[in-house]
Amino acid sequence: MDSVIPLLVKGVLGGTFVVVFAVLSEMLGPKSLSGILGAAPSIACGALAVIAATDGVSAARTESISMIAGAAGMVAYCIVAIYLVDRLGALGGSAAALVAWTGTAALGWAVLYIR
Amino acid sequence: MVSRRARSATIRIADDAARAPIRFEPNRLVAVHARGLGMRFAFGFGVSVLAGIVGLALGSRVGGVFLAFPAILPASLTLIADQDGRDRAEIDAAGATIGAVALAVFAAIAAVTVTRLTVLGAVAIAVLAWTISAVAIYAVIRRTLRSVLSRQPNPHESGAE
Repeated sequence: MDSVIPLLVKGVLGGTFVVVFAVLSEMLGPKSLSGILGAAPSIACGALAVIAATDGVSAARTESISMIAGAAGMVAYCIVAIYLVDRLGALGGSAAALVAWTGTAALGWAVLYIR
Repeated sequence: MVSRRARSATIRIADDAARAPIRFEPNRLVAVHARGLGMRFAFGFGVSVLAGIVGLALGSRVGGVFLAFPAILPASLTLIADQDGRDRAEIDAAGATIGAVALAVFAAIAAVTVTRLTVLGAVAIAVLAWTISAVAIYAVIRRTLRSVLSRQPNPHESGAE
């Protein structure tokens, strides 16, 4: 039960940052520039603050290091999504590209932690 | 072998990045749909909670990976494709690639600063590093593409956009 409130706070902060970056993206052009905000650190901003407050800065540091693997996955996701959206449509393409995120993030995580 | 569709997508993206004018239009806020923002909030909320649950279940080493989960993109690409077509969604995904590279910079800076500064200070510096690196990468790509495409006609100057 102790972990429910921090989870909800992370959710509200994450959702709020996503909306803030999405609104900024609507005001910017061209699409290639505004698209940058699609990979803004919207989840991480709120989550790191909550993690540092509840679990300490050491846990926040560990999460940040692991996030580098997730970011590598995000690069792969975006590159694959460009071509899958054309072939499978926006919903199918962006969903199928999650395979690229998972594979690349797992590989990056293994590079960081498996010796 | 690069397919014709992949090549045409690459050309559309390069054209947008090199030749379309850079704009900041606050008045476009009136065109933002509440449904779209609600959908994005729901994605952001869901992914944040998911990342938190993974962190609780498997520890910070695994949970941290989900801080860079594609939270906005699936919703954004779907909404953009519905409103403006698949071509625009592809260009949005190409821009997000730059943001994703900068996301690794954000994570590295946060890892270095979070134990040295207040957490809010560390996050603020990491966001600044994300912004600077993303804009710098975009500027270099735009300049390079402009140089490469400078000998071809510009559809944006003839009012085609």
